Amino acid sequence: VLNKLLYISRATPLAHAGASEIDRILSAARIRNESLQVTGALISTQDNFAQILEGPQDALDQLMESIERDPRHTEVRTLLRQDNVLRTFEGWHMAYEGSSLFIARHIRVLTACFQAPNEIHVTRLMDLMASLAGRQSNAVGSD
Amino acid sequence: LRATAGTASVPNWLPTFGGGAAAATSARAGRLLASDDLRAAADFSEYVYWVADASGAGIDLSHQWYDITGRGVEESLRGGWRSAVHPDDHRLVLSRWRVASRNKSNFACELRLRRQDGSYRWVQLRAKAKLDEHRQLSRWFGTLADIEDRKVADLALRTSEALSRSMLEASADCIKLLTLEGLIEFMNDPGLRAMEIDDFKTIVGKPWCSLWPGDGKTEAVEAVRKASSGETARFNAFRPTAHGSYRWWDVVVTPILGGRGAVKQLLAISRDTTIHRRTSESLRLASEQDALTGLANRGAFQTHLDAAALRAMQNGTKLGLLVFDLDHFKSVNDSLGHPAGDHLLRTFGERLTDLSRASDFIARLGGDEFAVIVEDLEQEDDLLHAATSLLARVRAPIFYEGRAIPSGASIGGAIFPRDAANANDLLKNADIALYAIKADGGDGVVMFHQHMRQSAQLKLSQLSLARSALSENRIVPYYQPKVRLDSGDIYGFEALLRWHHPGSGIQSPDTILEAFRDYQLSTAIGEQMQTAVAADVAKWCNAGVEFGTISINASPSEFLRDDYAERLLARLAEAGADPRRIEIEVTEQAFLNRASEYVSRAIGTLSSAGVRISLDDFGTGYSSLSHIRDFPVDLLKIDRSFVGEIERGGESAAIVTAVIGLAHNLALEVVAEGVETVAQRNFLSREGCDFAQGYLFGHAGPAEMVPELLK
Repeated sequence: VLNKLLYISRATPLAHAGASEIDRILSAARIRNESLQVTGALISTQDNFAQILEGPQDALDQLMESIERDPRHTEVRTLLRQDNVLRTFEGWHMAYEGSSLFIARHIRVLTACFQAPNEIHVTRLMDLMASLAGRQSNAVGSD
Repeated sequence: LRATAGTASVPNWLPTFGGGAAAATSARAGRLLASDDLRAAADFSEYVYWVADASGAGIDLSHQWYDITGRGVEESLRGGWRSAVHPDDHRLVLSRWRVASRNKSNFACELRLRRQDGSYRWVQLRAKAKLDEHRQLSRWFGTLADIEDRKVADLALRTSEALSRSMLEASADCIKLLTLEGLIEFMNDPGLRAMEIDDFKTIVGKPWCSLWPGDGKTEAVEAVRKASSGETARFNAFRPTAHGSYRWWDVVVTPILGGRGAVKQLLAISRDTTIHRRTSESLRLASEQDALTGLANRGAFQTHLDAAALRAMQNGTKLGLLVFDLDHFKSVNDSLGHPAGDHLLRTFGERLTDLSRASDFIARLGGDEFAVIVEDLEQEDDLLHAATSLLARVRAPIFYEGRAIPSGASIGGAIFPRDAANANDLLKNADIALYAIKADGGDGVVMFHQHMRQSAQLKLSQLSLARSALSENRIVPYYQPKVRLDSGDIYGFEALLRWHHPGSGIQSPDTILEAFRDYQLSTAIGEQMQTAVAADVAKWCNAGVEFGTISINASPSEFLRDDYAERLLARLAEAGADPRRIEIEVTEQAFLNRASEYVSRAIGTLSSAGVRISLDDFGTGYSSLSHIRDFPVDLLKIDRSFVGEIERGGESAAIVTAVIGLAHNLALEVVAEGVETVAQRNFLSREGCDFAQGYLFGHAGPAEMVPELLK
């Protein structure tokens, strides 16, 4: 039985403190997520992060606790929690890292309002991450 | 000793002649002045006649002596006469007498004789030595003649000569005496020094005119001719000294008249005016020149324009006037600093100078205003052509410290006498034309037309309304609700500018539209708006009012300085307002003008700070999808002109549908403005438009209305 969550957060200057900062996050996340049997995807834009995590509830709770303490981002906001779902990601992926405004907008649209997040926008972000991770996983698979 | 005293009171000298003297002498004297006729003549004479023995002792004196000196016979005869001689003249008289006695010769000398009243008069003593048969000196006889008048005149002459000479030598001027032919006869020492002539001999007798080079020579020749004919001539000319020093001279040549009024010589006085000229030249330049650009200043421009208008009137020619205004000067000054602004002005001035004809007059009128006066226009169209080509060439970017500064300009033109009857109106009308092009966004050329006058008036009154609204802090935001189309909930408000007229109440921005085209005014208005909105946002947050986000309009001219984002964020921080509560509505036009670099940086900064960016008036004007791709835009705002036509179907409805689809595909949200009917709302809702605003959902109202609406 798997649980799934999506959160978005706001990058702090620490997140981009060095060119390799994101790489460090990635390698640590890969090892830890694999040991915890957590799969999912991460998007890092200029100003925001968005991450989907799939795994056992305990593992997700444990991860979120440390994620929320991470000084490289702030305003962590969980937009979606689903119980009893199937894995959609094979392994954990860095779905996107860069400055595409198109991708950034998918997150920004969810950070803007001071009201409940619009479901349509949540779905669009999830779809985007899945397709980005899919492409990436294909690429990785072909290596 | 004219016999002015008459003879009546004094005993006739003839009867006294020989009185107390030896008979022998008397006999001789009698022989000397024998006849009554002679005596009468001597009596009438102006001379004193006298007779003395060889030792100089007086034997006899004619009555004039007694008249003049007031002395008696006893005091005068023998050596007594000497006491009447001025003490200073005793030695002279005695030495002459001694010399003459030794030589047995005649003598004469001039001396001062003491008169009855104690004053002295000059007399000439003439003495004839009378020898006896042994050629021994036997007697002196002679005359005393009054020479006071001549002596005084002589003295005066001598004094004046000395004075003249000392004046000549003391004068700093170069003073020359010339012959009528202009040959140099004399030059004073200071003149020689001033001309750096080492030896007068090198120039004496030479033609004065030949010392002058070039134009000076012509002037000198003319001056000599004129002075020779009896007139005074004057000229200013340049002539280096003999050693080549740079000198300017103010020269006066006057005729010197001879006895009968004929010109006998010429007097030439040259004054070195080099220093004066340099000073006055630099003074003139300082008063006529703009210190920064070296161009003529406003004063010089005015003078030149007046003169040019007069010439045009007299010659029946056309006169063109172009006034220039730099489009970006103020923003360059604000964002890059005054040195950059100065550089812009200097370079622009240089370009104008390089590109204009030599006969054109270029001036800096002040600030970022320049003017070019074009005289002798052949065709009226020529001015527009000239201005257009000038503009095309001056607007190449100017580089300052590696940055390109935009040098675009607006030009207003007017033609005399077509557009104005005098120089003043010509300038005024060229300014009106300039104003018209500035109001149209600048960067172009416009010729004055009479109809501009009226609109210029209107614009000026709008500007003054805006200024007073600003200074009295009458700018207020009014808030119009925006709703979510899916739920109908209020999602936020747009802050719309209003201003409070003391008499007429709340006014829409249309009444001060002109102010938004003015960089300084629009910036100031924008800032007053921002401050008010920030205060409202902070107040609502503190009061727990869930108002969503507030959007603020940014006019393109507000981005003309590079710190729009920083200033807005600072203002929000100061008020304690969360930037994520703010949305900035930017029109596409802002991306199109030359400051788009600033716009892009400002938007990036604001976006990173959490401010949402909305692209206003989307679909109108010059839209480019690259703006959406390249800038961190969050929202598209569909212009009311499309929304208003939705119900008619057709193109506008299709465009609205397309924009919504496009926006969603690009992960943008869409807001439609100007929604007034249910049909419009339904259409937008059906097409998936996210938000809407318009009368259907609520008019704009004051800040107090916001919490009420949210209840």
